[in-house]
Amino acid sequence: MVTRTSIPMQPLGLITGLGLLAGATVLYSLSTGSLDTDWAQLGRILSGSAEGLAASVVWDIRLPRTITAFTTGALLALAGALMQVLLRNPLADPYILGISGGAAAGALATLLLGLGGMWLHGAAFAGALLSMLLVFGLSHSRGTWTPTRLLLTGVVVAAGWGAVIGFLLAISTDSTLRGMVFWLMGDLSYRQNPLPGVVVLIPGLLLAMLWGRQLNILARGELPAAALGVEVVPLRRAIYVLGSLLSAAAVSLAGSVGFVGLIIPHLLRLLGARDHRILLPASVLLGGSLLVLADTLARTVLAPRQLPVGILTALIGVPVFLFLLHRNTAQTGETPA
Amino acid sequence: MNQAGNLETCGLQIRVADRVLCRQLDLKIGFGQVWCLLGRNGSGKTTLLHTLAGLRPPASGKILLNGTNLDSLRRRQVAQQIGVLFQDHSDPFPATVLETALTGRHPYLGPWERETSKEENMAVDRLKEVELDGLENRSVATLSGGERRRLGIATLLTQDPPILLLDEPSNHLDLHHQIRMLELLTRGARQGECTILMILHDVNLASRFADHFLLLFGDGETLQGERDAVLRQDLLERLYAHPMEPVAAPHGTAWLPG
Repeated sequence: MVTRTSIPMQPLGLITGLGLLAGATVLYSLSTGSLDTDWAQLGRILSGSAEGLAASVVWDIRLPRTITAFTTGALLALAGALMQVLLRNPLADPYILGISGGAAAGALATLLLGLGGMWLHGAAFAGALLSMLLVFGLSHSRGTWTPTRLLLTGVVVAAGWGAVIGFLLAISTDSTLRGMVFWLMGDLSYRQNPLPGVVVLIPGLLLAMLWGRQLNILARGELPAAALGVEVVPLRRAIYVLGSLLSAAAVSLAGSVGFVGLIIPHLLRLLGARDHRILLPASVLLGGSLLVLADTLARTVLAPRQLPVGILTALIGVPVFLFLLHRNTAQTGETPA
Repeated sequence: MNQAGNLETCGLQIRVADRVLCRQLDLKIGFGQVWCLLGRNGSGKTTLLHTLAGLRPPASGKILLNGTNLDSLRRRQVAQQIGVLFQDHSDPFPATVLETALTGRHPYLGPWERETSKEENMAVDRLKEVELDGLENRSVATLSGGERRRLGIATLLTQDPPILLLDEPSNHLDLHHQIRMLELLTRGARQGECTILMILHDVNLASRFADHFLLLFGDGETLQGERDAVLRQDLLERLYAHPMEPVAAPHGTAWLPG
């Protein structure tokens, strides 16, 4: 008899491990900053038995920012995993279809006009939705909707947004330029309410997990998926809409944080999470953790100066990814896709 | 005809771009029969197979699955009745051999349902039948072409539908495995448990395993019938536009291209 495979056990361990990692990064983020908070103090603050400056720093400044960072990372990683299946392309990321370009054009326009706060996030979200509808409409003509056509349309629309962004940067004043560049690299320093992101993330994750087995099959190709009973066209449309909304929510929260959406799903595949029912929740946990860690470092390493968080996600993620890729290739002699 | 395993077409016309590949095709594939589709490259064999599986709409005409119009059925219902072995396959994402074989159970499981040891045992047994036992945890990317072909066959057998549509099932297989796999695939039909329509390029392999033939001449004309009525020198020479020589062989007539 063949030994039972590791299907039932391994995912539980992975999800538990990632849950612990997420908890640890959140606690690290809450305890770290210009006002150092030790563990005992943090415990008292979180249990509500401490008051004063430290408590208000943790509750009013660090906690919303930490939740925003986690939600942004989670949204991006989830959207990335969905886009990779939609386009059947391991190089796809949440921004590949022009979502971030539309969001950036909206956000930079408000920064140029000197508007901020809700205007910034609202304009970014509106730009992302506009781009999503534009790409959907343009890629859909004559009834066919192939991954290649969608990808080409998205990439070209993204290039168009690139020109708009370049134009906005060129006509901006020196005083607004810095904010714009930070936004383009991903910036969590705007004070904000993470709630809209959470409201998109949780139902989005549940919905995507409900499609989990269908996603596994769709990843193998449209014709084989249809032959195995997947309603391919409605499912692909639904993935497109959900993936775009998740990406739009993420860029509206924190600008174009790069790298997370592309690398997190791959990193997890290298760790053995190939089944989307595991890969999607694992992406949420690991994407969130990476961004919380990156943001904590972004606001502390050169304190009081804050760095764009996108720089840190790449600085942490690139070596980890390359190490895993190298280890996997050395072990199996195969190059993972 | 409400029994499982019957596939029927009425006045089927298939077109690719402006070319008519088959015109007014009336086909009745009955339970337990093994049909083989013969024709030159580009004559529309794969297109017809995909159309019969409901993966591509016909230009006109109807396809009936057990008496019901195919396009009125949901994909999931069709997948419980019709299984397809595709000609070629690419996998951009990593998967193991067992995970791939298990996808065959997809049409039978609800959205929140997970594969249990029952499904897993089915897949493991089918992998054993195609001689891939012991490779369950191997990554598909490390398999050879022939091993991938056998994995495709194991996946189809795990799906276990009453109608099998096979696009060149002997592709990439060595001689031994060509015979083994065709015996395995047609076993169900011989036992009266399923119906098969397959595309083959080897007339001798076809004549050994199929009892009915459909010839696609590529210009819209088709010809169908039982083996001995269709496998004739004049018809085969016209079909392939190549001289064919019948040779007496232990299992009947063998065909050599001239």
